[in-house]
Amino acid sequence: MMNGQSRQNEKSALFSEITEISFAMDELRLYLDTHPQSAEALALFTEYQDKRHALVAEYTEKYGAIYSYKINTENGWSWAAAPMPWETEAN
Amino acid sequence: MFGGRGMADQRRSVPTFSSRQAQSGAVGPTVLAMAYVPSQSFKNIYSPSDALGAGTLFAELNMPYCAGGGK
Repeated sequence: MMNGQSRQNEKSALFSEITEISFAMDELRLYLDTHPQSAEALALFTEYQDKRHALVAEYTEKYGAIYSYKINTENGWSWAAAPMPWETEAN
Repeated sequence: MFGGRGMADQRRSVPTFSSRQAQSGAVGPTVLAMAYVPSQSFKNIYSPSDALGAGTLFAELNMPYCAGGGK
């Protein structure tokens, strides 16, 4: 069983990965807006799209929803149950 | 997205006034100034982690502002 600190580290690392790949996709989107015929850019965008989808699914499964549209309501209202971003436990 | 650093390399392809125009001092229908932005190509792509650190996915566009001409 993981201790709280390493779980927290893994959670932050996973979130960082999502942030990084999201930024890469933002950049590729801008490039593709002006170079819609670039097969290389399109291929990388598609690759990152799949990776990001998998990362977000993993995060949501392990730590809860990032987007309120994905809230798990099986056991009631969970959105406000996690620590707020400004609380120490959330960081 | 776009960088201006390629300017020096591209200068030769930029339209210029002909010497005849310059000599005659013609300013009528000619343009006063023209900006030129070379088209970016898909190369030197950073990893997502390096990209977020650099603020761009493209190594070509990683041009940190250095006061004093980058010295």
